[in-house]
Amino acid sequence: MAPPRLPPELIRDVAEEILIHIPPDEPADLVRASAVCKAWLRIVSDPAFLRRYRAFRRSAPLLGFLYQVDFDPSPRFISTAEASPLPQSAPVSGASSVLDSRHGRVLFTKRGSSNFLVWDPIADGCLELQAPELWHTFYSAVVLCTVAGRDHRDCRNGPFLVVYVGKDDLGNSICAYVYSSETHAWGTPVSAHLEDDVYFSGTDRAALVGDAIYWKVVLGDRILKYDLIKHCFSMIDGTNIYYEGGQILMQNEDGSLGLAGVSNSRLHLWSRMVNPEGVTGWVQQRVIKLKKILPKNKAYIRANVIGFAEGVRVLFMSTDVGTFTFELNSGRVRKVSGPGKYCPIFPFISFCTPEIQMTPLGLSLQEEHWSVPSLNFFFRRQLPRGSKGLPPRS
Amino acid sequence: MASAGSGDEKAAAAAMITLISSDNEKFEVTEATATLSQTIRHMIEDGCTDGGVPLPNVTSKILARVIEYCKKHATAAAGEEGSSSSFSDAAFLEVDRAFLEELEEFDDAFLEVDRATLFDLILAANYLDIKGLLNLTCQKVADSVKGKTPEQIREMYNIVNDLTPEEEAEIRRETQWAFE
Repeated sequence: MAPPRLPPELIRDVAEEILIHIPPDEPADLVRASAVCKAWLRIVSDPAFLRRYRAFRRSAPLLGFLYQVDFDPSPRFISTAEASPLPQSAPVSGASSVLDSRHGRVLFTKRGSSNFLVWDPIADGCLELQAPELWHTFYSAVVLCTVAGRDHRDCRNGPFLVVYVGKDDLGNSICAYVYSSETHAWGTPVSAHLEDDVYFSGTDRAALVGDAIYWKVVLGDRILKYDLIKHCFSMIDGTNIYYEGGQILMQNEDGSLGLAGVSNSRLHLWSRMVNPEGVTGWVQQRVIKLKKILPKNKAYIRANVIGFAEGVRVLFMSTDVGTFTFELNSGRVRKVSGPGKYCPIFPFISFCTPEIQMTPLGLSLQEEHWSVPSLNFFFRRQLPRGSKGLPPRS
Repeated sequence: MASAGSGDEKAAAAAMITLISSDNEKFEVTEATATLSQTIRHMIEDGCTDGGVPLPNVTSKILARVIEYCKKHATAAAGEEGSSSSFSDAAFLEVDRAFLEELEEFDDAFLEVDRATLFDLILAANYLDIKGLLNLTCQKVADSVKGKTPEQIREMYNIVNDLTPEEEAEIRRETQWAFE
């Protein structure tokens, strides 16, 4: 029998088309592909290709999640990819509690200080922000990209906001401060009085939907809303259902506010929308029996919903046997960690593209040198704007 | 009126294009099938298809497979257009879902080919500018490199390693996490 015919040689256009189809949820695959041959390395190190690679997807991939262990000051990271450049423990020196993770950035409090740290894990760049003047025992903070649009595939180096919401320690009023990376300053605070039956703890991760941020409140089946355009607070009603397996707020695909709650071993998915009577309220979209999606060892009996990764639409469920991700669109379920307390969790969603720069060594980076295909190059994780970059290699 | 309509339909049905492979084999296809290729669509628009369309980069074996793909997907496109102008009630949605599933099964079976044929199909899809086929075949190759080392990828797809040992060492050193 004749040996199998060897595949024909690939022209650059076609090689690029293949490389663009490599799924981004395992970032090591694209890196390893870059080490196949010079042509593939050249494609993967081309910033225009990487822009196309990111634009090709509906959303950035889920790379893992950050969480805090009780009595341990260091936040931890669990990767959902087989190989990850992010460290598992103490990802940023000096970081204490993790407050939020969104649009490729992570927000921490700084140990021994009331300041915040905004970390770009892919560039490994960190920015320290002075905290707003007031200090509250119960507060929440959100980091978000200010670039318009809902996909946030390529905004890591763009401007961002930090929204801080704290509850007055003595009374029942709340205030919001908004920091802008463009003005390098906190704006004028906005405050509001909460009703007596409402208690804001700030412990749950907020949901960002459109131009508003939403938090569940601890007491009362209510949701606190902060409008980023009008800079005002308001309250909206919850679903009026008790979920013994927890509930989380989320962003639905149609841009509406969503809610996922676990009750009676069932996952209930809701959407806040205008109902046929013309009244805005909660409409139940789906009810999913957990025993159909979680493994058979009765893990579903004490399952809790603990997080939601927007864009990729992945719910996190904690059970006695470990934490599982459940992809709402495909129905795929994966075990991502062993048993343990992981609530709240902060999903990390970002592209981790290699950002390889082919740079002639020992030469100044003049334009003509860039155009010469070089045999010498180094990899550089992209640095934040204004950074001087890595020192030249010796 | 009715007779004029049926006349148009006959004219549309009769709009056939002849494709000529590199080994000079002729394939008669409908315009709807042929125009899944943007390259051929432009040729038809420019009136350059009389006497057949020579495709010197595509062998008859690969062209037959490409036509098989285009026929199936042209039918799917026609079906979609039909259903979008109708009421989208449950029965239609059910039919749509069944049709999409059938199309997915067709695509899966279509990709059951050896690597050399898969690469030939990619090159043909690129040359003929058939977006769906290019996506389908490139995704198959991209999925196959998942978890593979550079050596395994080179071996799978007959790619010569022209990186210097220093370059390879540098890549591995700087992105060690991806090679562990």
